[in-house]
Amino acid sequence: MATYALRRLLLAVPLLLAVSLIVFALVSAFPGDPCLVKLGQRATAPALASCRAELGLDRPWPERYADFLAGAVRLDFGKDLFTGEPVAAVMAQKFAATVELAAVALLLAWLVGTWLGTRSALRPGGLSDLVGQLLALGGTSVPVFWLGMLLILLFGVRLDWLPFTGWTASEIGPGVPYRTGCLLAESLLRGEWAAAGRALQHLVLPALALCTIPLAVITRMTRSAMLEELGRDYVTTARAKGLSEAQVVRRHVRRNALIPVLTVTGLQLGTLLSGAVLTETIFAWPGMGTHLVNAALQRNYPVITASMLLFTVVFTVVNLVVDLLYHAIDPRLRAARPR
Amino acid sequence: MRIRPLVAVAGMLAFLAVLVGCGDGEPRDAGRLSLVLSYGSVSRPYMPNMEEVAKQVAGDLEEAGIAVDLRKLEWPAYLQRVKNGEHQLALLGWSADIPDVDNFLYVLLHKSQARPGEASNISFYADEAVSGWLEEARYAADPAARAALYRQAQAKIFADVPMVPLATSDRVVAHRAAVGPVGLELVTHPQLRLCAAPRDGRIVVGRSGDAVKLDPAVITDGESSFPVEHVFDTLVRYKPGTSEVEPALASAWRSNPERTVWTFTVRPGVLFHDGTPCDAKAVVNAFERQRDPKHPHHKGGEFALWQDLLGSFVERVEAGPGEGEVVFRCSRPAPAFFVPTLAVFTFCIPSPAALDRHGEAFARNPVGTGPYRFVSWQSEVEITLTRFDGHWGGAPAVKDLVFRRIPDAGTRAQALRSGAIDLADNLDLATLPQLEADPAVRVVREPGMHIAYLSMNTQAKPFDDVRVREAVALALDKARIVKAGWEGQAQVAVTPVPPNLMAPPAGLVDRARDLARAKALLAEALAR
Repeated sequence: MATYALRRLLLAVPLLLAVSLIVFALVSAFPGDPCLVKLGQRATAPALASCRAELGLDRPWPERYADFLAGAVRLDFGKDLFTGEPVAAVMAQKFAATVELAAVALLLAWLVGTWLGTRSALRPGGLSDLVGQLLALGGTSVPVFWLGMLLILLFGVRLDWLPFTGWTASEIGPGVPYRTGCLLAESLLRGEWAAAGRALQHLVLPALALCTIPLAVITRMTRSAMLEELGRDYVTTARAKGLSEAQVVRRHVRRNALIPVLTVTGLQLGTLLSGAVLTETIFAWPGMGTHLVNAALQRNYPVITASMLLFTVVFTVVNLVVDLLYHAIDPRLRAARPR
Repeated sequence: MRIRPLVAVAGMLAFLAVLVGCGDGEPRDAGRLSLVLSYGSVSRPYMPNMEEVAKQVAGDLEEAGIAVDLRKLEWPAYLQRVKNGEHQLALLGWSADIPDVDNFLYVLLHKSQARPGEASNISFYADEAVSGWLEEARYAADPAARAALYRQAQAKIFADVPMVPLATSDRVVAHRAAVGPVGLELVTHPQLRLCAAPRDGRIVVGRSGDAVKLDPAVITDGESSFPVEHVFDTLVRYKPGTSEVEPALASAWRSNPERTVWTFTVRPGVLFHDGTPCDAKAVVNAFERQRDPKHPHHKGGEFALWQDLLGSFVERVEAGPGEGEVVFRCSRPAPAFFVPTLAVFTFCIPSPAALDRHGEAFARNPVGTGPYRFVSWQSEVEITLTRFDGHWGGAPAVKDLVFRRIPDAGTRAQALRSGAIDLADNLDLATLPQLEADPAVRVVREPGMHIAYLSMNTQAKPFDDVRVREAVALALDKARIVKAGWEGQAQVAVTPVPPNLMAPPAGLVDRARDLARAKALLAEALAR
């Protein structure tokens, strides 16, 4: 198992190389450069030239790429072309904020989705089936920015129950010396209960908006997987053995139905961890999504490339974890030695 | 399984490729004039909705028998394209650095600003007479003589139609009523030190982006200059709400009769936030750092605004003959707008001790003499400032200022209504009626220091022919364009200069829409 995991991780290395090369080359080939963005409409030729020299953009891109790679192996992705901040440190902050939001949203989606999916499968055509179907349809078809704005208008402004901006250290825990972008986790670890409470409040609306798609996908997948498993022979056997319906579902059906659900959950997690541009924009969430979009609009080459590398690692790791979880759930896979 | 990241990458790249777009096609119909109208996929203070304006302009031109291809480009690519002169028709605008006519006419229409690759005169208008008058007006000391030259230039520009001025958009800021009156400034941000009645002692400003750096000499953007204007002081500053300057760090100034030597007296006893004195040496340091490549805090590639605003005539800045005096030595008589230029954020005075201590990190640890001192900055989240009790002008009433990034304009408006923030700018014009209806919110609106225009590339066919340019001007229904593109929150522009800076010269009346005449002019021009 360990060698399998290691092999999978090693295979990610050529993938990372390919991704970085493609991204770097293509982004460099686009018209317009960071100096134009910085200096704007009045940019003169000498100012542009000295700005390009300062940022090293006067050198051919393969040379700059080589430099980038040399730094990247030491996890040094250089400096942001605009702010001069280290790319890796800022990215760590943004990624932490994304992880916290994604984790809460996915947890919500998973708990509600598997419960609702299971109930729908057990009583097809019943009330929970109807609710599940509606949620699944709505979750995939309602645009997040619209839903987000409605949540803001209702819970943030009209009822004034929940905050919808201000995921900042000064708002969540004034005086707490936060060191990461995970404000909720760090508040809990530091025992700052009031701050943790505020962090949770701030998480509610963005997590609700963000969880709609994974919730829809997980509900539907759970329902269909459960229905499929319920019709199998081993279920009849289990019932014939005299097991109660609850035992049949809990011990046999759910376990088998979980495998496809896990696959789609893994995919959703990868997507969520790559940053949710719309949700982050609407709720002023300082995560990876808006960070990357800003960088792309500014032609901030090191930030774009480093972000894409991070997403590649995220997908590789999530896929690996999902594979390993298959083995934990399915004894048949454990028996057949993983190659 | 391993293919997924690649698919994600490919998808992202395809998306970017679409954003960037591709080159112009050839005109499609030989018998009919066919043009390409380029515009950027951005929102700017002078033109919040470029796409809508482009559609309206295209619609008007179609009615005059001109086929228009709309070409939307992502901002950096678009800027490169228009600065290189690769466009036919393009939408752009300008927001003033300083409230002076020169800042519009010289920047947008002087021949020296029309070099491909670095043009700000993107119509590539190179009329010798106009350039001569603009040059003369730049250095004329007598306001009446300057005004006469500008009137002359405006009339010629109007006749030559290198561009069609479209609109001057309003400056709009919305704030919680509890903050008390907020005044709008012509070219700087609202001066929050003047706010009187803050809620719990602090003002949270919601804005679309974060600052890039907080070093006044190197920044070029409004999100950076807003906090900078509160942390630092300049030698002179605008009297609230006007284009006149008043003493700030300089208590007085004078020049020799030739206007080549300018002496400023530095206000005595002013301290930086770090306790070091703001004396003549500190003032010299602020300017020489930008001018002198050998200065220890000079960095090639930075200080772009120095080149734009002072670099062409300031030779040297040195500590002056008398105690606490600073002398600007100029290679030629200083332009008429030299002193107001010193009120631009670029010429804020930083603490030399802090520059020495922090080096390049000064941009994240700014130390000035301003009414607020820097406390903290969380990247792309918020910047916090707190009152500096030792300010020479007296400590402000509001204790803390927070500049918070809320990228979505709709969310900013709702955050203002819910009380999460106290002040917001860059608002979506569509949300203004809702804000105005809210009793807890005030919307402040004033004519802006902007101009939005339709540029015609006069160096390329068919716009090398003035008849075609005039036909385009005649085909546009500006009032309707302003209504659609600015939701009516702008004035129709007649000249490239905002009317609150200089009214259109007497006798200069805008062309009324005249499709018949536009078509006739076009037919005449195309028949040659």
